[in-house]
Amino acid sequence: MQNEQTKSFKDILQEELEDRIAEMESPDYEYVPRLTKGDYIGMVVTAAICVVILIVGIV
Amino acid sequence: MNNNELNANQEAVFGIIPLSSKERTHGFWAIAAVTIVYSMAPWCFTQGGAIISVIGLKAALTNTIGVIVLFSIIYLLAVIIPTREGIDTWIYQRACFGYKGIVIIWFVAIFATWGWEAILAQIHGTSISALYTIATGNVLYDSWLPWLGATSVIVGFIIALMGPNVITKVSYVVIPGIIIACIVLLTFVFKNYSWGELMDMEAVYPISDNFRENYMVATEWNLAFVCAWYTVVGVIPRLAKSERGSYWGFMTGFGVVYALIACVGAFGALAVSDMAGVYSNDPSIWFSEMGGGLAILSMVCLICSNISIMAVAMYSLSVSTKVILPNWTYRRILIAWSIWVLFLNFTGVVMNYYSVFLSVIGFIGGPTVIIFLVDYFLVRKQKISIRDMFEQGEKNAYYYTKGFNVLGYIALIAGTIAYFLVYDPINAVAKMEIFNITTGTGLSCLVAGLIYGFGSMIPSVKAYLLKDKAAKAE
Repeated sequence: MQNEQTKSFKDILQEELEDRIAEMESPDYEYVPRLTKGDYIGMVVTAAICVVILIVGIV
Repeated sequence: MNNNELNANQEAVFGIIPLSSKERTHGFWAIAAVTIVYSMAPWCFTQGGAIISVIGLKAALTNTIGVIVLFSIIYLLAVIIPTREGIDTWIYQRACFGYKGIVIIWFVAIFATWGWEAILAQIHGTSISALYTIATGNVLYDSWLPWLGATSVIVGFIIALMGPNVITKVSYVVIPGIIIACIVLLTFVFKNYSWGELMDMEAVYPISDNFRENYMVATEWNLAFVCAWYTVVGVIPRLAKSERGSYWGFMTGFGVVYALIACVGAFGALAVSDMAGVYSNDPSIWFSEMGGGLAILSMVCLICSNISIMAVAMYSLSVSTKVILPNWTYRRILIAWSIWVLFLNFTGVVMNYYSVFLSVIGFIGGPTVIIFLVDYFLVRKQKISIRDMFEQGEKNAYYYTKGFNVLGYIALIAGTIAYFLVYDPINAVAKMEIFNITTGTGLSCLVAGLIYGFGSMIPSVKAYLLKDKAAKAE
């Protein structure tokens, strides 16, 4: 029973893995949209706000 | 094989395989909603209560929001990897620590992570005890508390055995439960104190006479608090439809909301301490001191939330254990983890040594994340071999030295040594002056990241790390 469970888990996994790796290795594969310059500006602005908050807390 | 075992197998398979961009289902709002649910755990109150013990309320609130959100900006860049590549960060870290190396880190991290559930069990025990006292006027012996806390573990275990459908329904209890508790706490605080009075409130048990030392210990605890996400940071972003939605969704839940709930805890702990002369970082103690119908309602909400989160954690952590231990049945894993949480609950180590527990979370979750950020963004320049992530033979790129990435381990061990050189987590005091600039977690991240980054520039080490590129070039 134990071996059957292990085998089925590994078999299912192997099948799924093969399909997906092949798809993702394809040159036509499209990744999800990336972070943009606006996101990095947002990070810098958020960081600046945090620094201001920290300064307000200790003065 | 029963249905639960099948479900666990399917979840484990789903957790391992790379998700392609076509399979993504979660936009910004969905990611934010899920991460907010994760963030609304009663242990956030515990964190706020701990911070207020060492610094006054004004500094505590600004430190908690400022440090948690600021560190999250860097820490949560980790979600970009699973969002882009479709794999959990536990799979990705095979590249940083090796196929076998990552298993050891996983075990240490997940054993420590259960400490949060031990805190839930303890809050659960004190909540039931307080309700009993209100209802009957009698006080239960302290020796009963761990037994009452254990009921949350047992009920959580039973719910987790019922499978994902029941768990999803149970998880709906969390948000209203914690929101009600927050509203009751804040109403109590602002009914009794003006904003000016609150801002003038001093720390309950400062560690030192020096404000800066106390402030940096609080900063250390808040940094470590962010590192608590280490074990789960790679699960949800695999579902994200864009990097923007994923990153800012996580920033909303794991950054901002997480910090705000901890701030509510700081308000509650300090106000109750000031009014009743009883300091505790256990929210059920605050509610029992407040008294009245709303406090009882809040304790009932806490009890329900504790059980819900316990069940969710038991299910999700057991499924992720199945990924590492596929030969173990789901039930067997669930029993093993339940025994571990019960052990933590009965010994009371996590709540009694909260700062030590946070340090374990900090020195594991801090440097490891910084190492894999350096690895992905700087060393590999965001290009990996998905196939080699899964094929674990000796000829594959991430096999390294008998399954261990030596540089990854050197960087991690150096970061850990740096941590303990500058900080004594048992007494929560700095051992070297540099702690008051970098903190322990900050320094360990810095050391680990620099060693990994500069080490990778050595040509032979670079070739050792970048076998995936060499294989592609062939």
